[in-house]
Amino acid sequence: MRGQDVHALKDLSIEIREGEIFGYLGPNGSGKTTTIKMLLGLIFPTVGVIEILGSRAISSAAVKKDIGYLPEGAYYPDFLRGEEILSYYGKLYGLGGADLKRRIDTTLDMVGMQHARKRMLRGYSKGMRQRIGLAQALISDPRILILDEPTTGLDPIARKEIRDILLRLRDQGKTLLISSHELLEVELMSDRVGILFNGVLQTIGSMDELLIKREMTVDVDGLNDAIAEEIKALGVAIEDRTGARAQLRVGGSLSIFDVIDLCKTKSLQLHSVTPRRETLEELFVRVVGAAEAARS
Amino acid sequence: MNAITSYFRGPFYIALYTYREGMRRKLLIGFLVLSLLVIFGSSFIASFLDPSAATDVDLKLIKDICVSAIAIFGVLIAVYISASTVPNEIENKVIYTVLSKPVGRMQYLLGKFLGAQFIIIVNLALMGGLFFMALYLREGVMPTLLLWSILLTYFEFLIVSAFTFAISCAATTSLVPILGGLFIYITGNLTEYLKDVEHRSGQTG
Repeated sequence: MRGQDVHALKDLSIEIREGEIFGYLGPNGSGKTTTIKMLLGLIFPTVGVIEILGSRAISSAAVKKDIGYLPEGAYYPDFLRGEEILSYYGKLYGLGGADLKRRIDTTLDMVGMQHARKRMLRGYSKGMRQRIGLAQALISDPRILILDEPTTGLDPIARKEIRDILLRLRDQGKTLLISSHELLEVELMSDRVGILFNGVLQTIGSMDELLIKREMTVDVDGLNDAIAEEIKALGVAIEDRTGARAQLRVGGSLSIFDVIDLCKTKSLQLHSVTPRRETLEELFVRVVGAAEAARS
Repeated sequence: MNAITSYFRGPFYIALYTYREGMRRKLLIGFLVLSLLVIFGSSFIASFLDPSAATDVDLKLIKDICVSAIAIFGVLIAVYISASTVPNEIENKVIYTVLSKPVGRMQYLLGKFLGAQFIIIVNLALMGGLFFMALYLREGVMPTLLLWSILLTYFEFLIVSAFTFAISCAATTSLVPILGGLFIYITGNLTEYLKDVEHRSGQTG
C-alpha cells in the first residue's frame, strides 16, 4: 500500500539577488518552510538544483558558514544563558577565543541584549527570545540570512527595532530571505517579493513592478447620502465614511479632476488628494484569490 | 588528523552544551538530590544498629541501600536524559538551528549521545563518591572493589541509555523511549531470576 505523492513545491524557480531583502510570502501550507528547509540542506528536492553563493554543495560546511537561520517560533535550550547560546552556536561555526567573544559582544549589541546576556533563556520574554534568535543567526557574520517569521508575536516597538536591524544588515551588504505573514512588515522592508501558493510561485518582482498604482484617494468633508449616491453613480468608491467625512477612491477611467470639480459643485470640503498604491496585503489577496479560483 | 579533529569538534560542543543544559534540569537535580539523601541516610540508619555486634549487619545495610539507590536513581536519570534530549529538540525546533550550522545529522546524534553519557557519568560519580565515603568512614579502609562495581554499573546504564536513545531518535515524544528504556532495564535484570525459575521448575518437574 502506498499513499498518494504530495508535491510540496512544483517547478519553483527563484533567484535571490545579493544584497537584497526578498520577501517570501504565501498562505499556510504553500511550501515556504519546505523551501527554507531545502535551502538549509535539511531536506532535499526530488528534482532540480539549488545553488547558494555559486555552489551546489549546499550541505557543505563552507556554504553553511555563510548562512544564518532564524526558525519560526524559535525555541532555544531553556537552561542555557543568552551568551552561552551564542557561544554554543559560534563554536559550531568553528569560532573560538577572542574572535568568538568579539562576535558575541557585537551581536548582543546589535540586537540590544547586552543587559540579559547572563540570564537563562527560560526567563526571557518572547521578544527577547526573538532577539537572541536573531543574534545566533548573526553570530558567524554570515552573508545570507534566512528568517522565518522574524517579527511575529512582537509588540510594535520591538517590531520596529527588528525591522531597523534587518534594514541595517541589508545596507551592510547582506542578503536576506524573509518568510512572513506580517505583510506590512514585509512591504516596509523588502526590495522584491515572491508569492507562493500550493507549491507554485504565483508572482515575483519588486514592489514597483507588482503593486498597482492607478488609484487616488480624495479625503472630503460635508458628505450626505444624496451626494454620496451621486458620487457612487460616477463609479467612485466611498471608503471609511464617518458621518460627513469620507475617503473617495478614484480609479479606472475617471479623472481626478472630474472628482475635484464634482466636490466643488457640491460644496464638499476637500482635505487631501493622495496618490494611492495597492498594498502588499491587497496584492497578496488578489494573487492568492486568483490562484485559488483557478484551482477550483 | 585535521579532518578527524574537525569532524569531532561539532559533536564535542554539542555534547558539552547538552551536558550543561541537562545538569540544570530540575527533574535531574531532583533525582540526584534524592539519591544522595538516600545514600547519606543509609549511614544514618546504620548508626542506630549496635556497633559492637559481631556481624557486619550495619555494613550490609549501608551497601544494600546504596546499591539499590544508585541502581534505581541512576537508571531513572539515564533513561530520562537519553529519552528526552533529541525529541525535545525536535519538538522545540532547536534541532533546525543546530543542523543549519556546519553540523551533520550523525555529528548531531553523536554529540547528543555523548552529552547524555557525560550527564550519566557525573551523576553516577557523585552517587558513587558518596557511597565510597560512607563505606570508608564505616570501615576505615578504601573500598577499591566498589570502583569496579560503579564502572560495571555504568556499563549497564550505557546499554540501557543506548537502547533508549536509539528509540528516541525515531520517536516524536519522550514517553515511548522512556517506557522502552525501563522495559529493557527491568527485563535485563529479570533474566537471571527467570533462568533460576526455569532451572528450579526443571528440578521439580
